[in-house]
Amino acid sequence: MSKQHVKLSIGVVVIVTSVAYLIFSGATGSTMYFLTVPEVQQKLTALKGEPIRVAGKVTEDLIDWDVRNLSLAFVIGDGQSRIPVRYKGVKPDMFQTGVDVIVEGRIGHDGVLAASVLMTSCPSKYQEEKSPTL
Amino acid sequence: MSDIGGAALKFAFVVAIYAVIIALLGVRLKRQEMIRSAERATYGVFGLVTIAMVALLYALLAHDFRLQYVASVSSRAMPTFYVIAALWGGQEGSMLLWLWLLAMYSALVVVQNRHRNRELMPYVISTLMTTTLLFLAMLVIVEDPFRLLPHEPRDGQGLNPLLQNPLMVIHPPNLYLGFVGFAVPFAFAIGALASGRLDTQWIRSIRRWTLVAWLFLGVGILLGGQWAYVELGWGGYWAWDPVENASFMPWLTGTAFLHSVMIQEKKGMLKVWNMVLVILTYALSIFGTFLTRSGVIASVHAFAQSSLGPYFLLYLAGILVIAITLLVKRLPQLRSDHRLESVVSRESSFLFNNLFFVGIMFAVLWGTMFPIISEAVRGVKISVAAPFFNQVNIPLGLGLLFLSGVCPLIAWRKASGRNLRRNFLYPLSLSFVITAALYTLGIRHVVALISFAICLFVFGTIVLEFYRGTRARRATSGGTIWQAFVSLIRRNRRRYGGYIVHFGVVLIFVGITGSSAYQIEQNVVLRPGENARVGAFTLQYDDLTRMIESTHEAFIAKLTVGRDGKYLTTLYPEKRLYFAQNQPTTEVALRTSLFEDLYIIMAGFEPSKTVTFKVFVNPLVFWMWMGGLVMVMGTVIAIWPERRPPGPGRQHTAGQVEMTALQGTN
Amino acid sequence: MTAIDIAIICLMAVCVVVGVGEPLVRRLAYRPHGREGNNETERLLLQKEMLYGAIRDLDFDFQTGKVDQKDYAELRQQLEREAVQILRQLDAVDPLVAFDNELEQQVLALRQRSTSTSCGSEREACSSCGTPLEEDENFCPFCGHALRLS
Repeated sequence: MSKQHVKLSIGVVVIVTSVAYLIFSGATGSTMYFLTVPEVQQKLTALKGEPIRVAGKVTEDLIDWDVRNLSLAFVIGDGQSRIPVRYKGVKPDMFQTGVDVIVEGRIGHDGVLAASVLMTSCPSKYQEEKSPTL
Repeated sequence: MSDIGGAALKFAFVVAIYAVIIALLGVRLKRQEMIRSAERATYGVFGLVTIAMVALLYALLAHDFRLQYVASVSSRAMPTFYVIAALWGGQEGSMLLWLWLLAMYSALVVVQNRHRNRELMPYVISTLMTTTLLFLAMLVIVEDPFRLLPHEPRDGQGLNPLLQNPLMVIHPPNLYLGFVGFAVPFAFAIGALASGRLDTQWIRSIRRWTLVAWLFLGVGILLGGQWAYVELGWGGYWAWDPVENASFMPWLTGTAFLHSVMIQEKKGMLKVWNMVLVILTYALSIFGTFLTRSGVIASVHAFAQSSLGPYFLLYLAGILVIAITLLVKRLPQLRSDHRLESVVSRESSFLFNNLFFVGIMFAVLWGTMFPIISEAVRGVKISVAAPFFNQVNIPLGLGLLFLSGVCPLIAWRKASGRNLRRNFLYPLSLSFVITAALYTLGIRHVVALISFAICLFVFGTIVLEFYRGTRARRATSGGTIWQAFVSLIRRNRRRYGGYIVHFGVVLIFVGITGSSAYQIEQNVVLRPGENARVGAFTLQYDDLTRMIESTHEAFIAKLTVGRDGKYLTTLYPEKRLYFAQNQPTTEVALRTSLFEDLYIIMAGFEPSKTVTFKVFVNPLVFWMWMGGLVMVMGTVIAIWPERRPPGPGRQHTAGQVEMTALQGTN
Repeated sequence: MTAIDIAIICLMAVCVVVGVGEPLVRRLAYRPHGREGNNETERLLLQKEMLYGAIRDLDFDFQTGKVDQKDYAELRQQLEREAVQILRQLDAVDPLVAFDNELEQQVLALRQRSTSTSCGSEREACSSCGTPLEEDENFCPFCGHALRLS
């Protein structure tokens, strides 16, 4: 291998290693379990304090929306499982009973998930067959 | 009409199958008439799909609510402009648009190459028609746009009001023009591999196609970001959402390809790498489309689970297997013509930049796919949030930006050390001086300072390049500075168009840096008549009014905005309730200036008219959109065809080799 | 489905079948190369293009101060040698190309002369700032350094 090729290989190796390092260190920092509500209920004690992401539906339980403090309390559910959630932030427009949501946060000692992220899905863009209003 | 549309699609399906088979037969059996028939079939598919599009458009405009699609995306009250846009507002319609663009591109490619690339074209046609088949299959079997409802409703549901926005109207077509556009370079790559004609010819033929696809994809991504910013109301423009990432990844490899292709054109190196990039870019496009439509990864764009997943995956697996097999088979013929002469050369800096691009793409892919991988491997889904992407991509992005400043200073083949050091001096000094000034003015955020420093450096190198080029041009052919400047760009479109694109990228980085590092976010609760201070602005909440429009009911807050004691503007954030949908939408109140954006949404209000506002001050966002425009300008300059110069040697290479004779450089 | 619909669908089908099937009933000569010449000439012409491109780039890099005189002279000689070689090969393969090549060789030489002229064979570059110079300049146009004492 010529001298230039050696230099080039060194450069390539440096870059590839840096990329790998960045990915590795970044990944170990911001990962969280992505669970369904039943799964969370099963492992409730183990998950307390851990950052988690949960997908479920907004149940018919009381939704408390405190506009002044931007605090939204509701219950996320899936089948029979339920978890109370308190989200600090703006209530998403699409948020209402029955809507699919994803929350990210930690479950506190009181069993309530303190959510920092709340996402609702865009149901009307691409959706399965839905009967239109008559 | 809808029956005609449905029939047209089914015919197109049959004709596409025919085209794939007959093209391959024709080239294998060396029968020209079969190849000609395949070309006709390509035109036929385009014609039939156009008929289907027209049929669906007609149904929309005629409010034919017998069609399930029409009923789900349009309503009588919708403005005509959005009724037309509803053509691609839902799953079936947007797939039809994808298909139509693909059919159009295929027909264009065939017409353009009537007398060229004859050895490649049968394979190109087969490949393009196979892709067309994928979408035709999905449209005919699973997602029929012409499906009828059991009985016709009186009115349709109407398009989600979030989508009734000019940005959202052009965002999907732009993206599709990008995704679909990459099918053409891919088809040519397959053609080159299958036919064995692996010289640089196929690369030259696809140069403009690649640039156009890349341009549309980039614009589509920026438009999506702008729409998210202006419409969705969370104060940002990019969330590293899987669907966003899906469009970003092919753009990254596409950009890498645009650069490394130059090396193959000039020195016949990196042939295998370029093949891999083309295949990868297209595979990522298809993969992106798959991610977006199959619901396999949860995202804010999350769509319901559809049954389209298997189709995409099967197709993706198929083309990858074929492409890799062909590539491995032709490996011996893809040897480099030359070796690298020096590490300090433009060739090697392009190589490094490729590594960065692919590195970023890989990081994004990793983060996006991690939930699925971890579920398959460990049985538990682990998801990766935005901080991961930012942590990895910011250093890589800055490194790449720096490289884009260094690269123009380096000569092809081998740069002379002394010259290089001297060339570095001016931009580095500029960067140092202004960054120091910024520091004294109070900018202390470390990453922001680094970013600005690099932006200034790159800006300096670009200016230097234009300056030196103009001076060299004047030295050879005289004229005024302006004449030399214009003629310089005219004769070196690719190079100077490219520099302009880089400048656009610098502006985008400036915008991202400002809005990320110095964003102010504040919740403000006000009763009518009260005011508050956010950043340098004073916001006076005057009143909340209720209005009824034809399609919605609106609650409008009036905010008088002042700055430094003087009146600036009046803003009206709204909450709307569209009658057709059952949910409110938030209308952002936005005031843009060169320096910062004042961004206000009404988070909610009480019967007492007390309103909670969420206020953002986003610095420098304007420059992001400006940068996008500059990128478009630069790309247009690079794409613009050169005037065919007169001279010897033309007969042998008419239409083939871009004979630029002793004119421009790259 | 109305009668008109059926009629239009049938019309569509007929058009497609006729349009697509028509070439099959004809006899066409197999032309894999279209208007292209034969393989060998193609390859050599592409190589020639690449070399010319490299020479152009080199000239431009020199004019914009990225390559110094020594490297420039060395690299250009090397490229010119390769170009002449290709031209000779082209002559051997296709005599028709010979005349064009002769013209191009002359243009190549002329251009080199003009480049080296505008860059000053006597005084290549300003000793102060390194800018390439024209032959008869008293002061460097870039930094103002005095070059000649008259």
